Amino acid sequence: MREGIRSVALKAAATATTLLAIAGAALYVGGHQHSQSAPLHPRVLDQVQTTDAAPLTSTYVS
Amino acid sequence: MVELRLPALGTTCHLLAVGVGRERLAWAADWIRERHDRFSRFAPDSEVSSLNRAAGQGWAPVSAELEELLGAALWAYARSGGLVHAGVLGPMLAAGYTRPLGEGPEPARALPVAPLPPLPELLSVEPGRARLRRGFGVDLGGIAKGWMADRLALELGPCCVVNLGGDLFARGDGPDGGGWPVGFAGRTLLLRGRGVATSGVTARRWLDQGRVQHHLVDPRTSHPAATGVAEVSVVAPTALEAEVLAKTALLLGPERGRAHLATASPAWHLRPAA
Repeated sequence: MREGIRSVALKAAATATTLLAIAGAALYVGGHQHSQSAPLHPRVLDQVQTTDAAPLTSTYVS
Repeated sequence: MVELRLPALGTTCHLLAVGVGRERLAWAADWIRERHDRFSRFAPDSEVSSLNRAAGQGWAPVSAELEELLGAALWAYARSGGLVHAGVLGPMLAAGYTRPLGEGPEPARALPVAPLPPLPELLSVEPGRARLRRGFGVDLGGIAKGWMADRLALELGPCCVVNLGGDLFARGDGPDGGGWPVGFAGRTLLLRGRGVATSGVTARRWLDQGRVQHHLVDPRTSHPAATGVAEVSVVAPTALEAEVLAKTALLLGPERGRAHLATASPAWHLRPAA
């Protein structure tokens, strides 16, 4: 009987650990995705406006 | 609106213009190719190669445009606190970047980790002539692209974009009057009378005996830069200034680079290395 309770408790702990790890990974990735898009810094918005239109040309590393 | 894409300057150039004919774009394409031939360090008969060969032999004659470009290189050096250094030819050759990368890099040679002498100690420019110190040479690379984008946009017409491999100048109000829509770090900016450039270590890179080499030399070490920054894009009043700001930030590293850009650019994006 005690072995059965111990087995259920271990399974519950393992499941909780797995769920915590998944949630932690999601938060980590989400945080990095956020910081990927964050570093665009329009300091003077009236001088540099953004648009939803597709660009006609782009800057890139060459 | 008319547009033209052409391979030149070791990359792809993209021209867009409103109010001019296709013959004007063809003229602009010839303008780019001619300067590519004159300012390339790879072509043995280019003006820049002649100047590099004359290093240590006193004053060499230069055209008015090369004189202006070398002046821009000295300005870039001063503007960047010494980080944008056109005298990196030796370290670039040592890294294996001896010919266009389409032809493949050569094996790197060992080079001590040591700073380059200040550019004004290597390069002197006077009207119609320039002088290089023995053992040194110039690679005008991104400085030439930025300078050419600004200059060509002034000549192409009042409403145009000159994009030379990512270094661009947007002139006029664009096709719809609201500015030129330019892709920038995954967004679209509307630009009028602005330069943009991106500098990074994610292109023109290769593996040499298991070590990553790339084209962006840090003048403080004479080796390809490893500052923790992968890529920087910058908006500035001119393409040349954008190029200088982007390269400066990349060489300063993430924290100092961000601080520098915050005081110097209306819009910028810095992507740290993974």
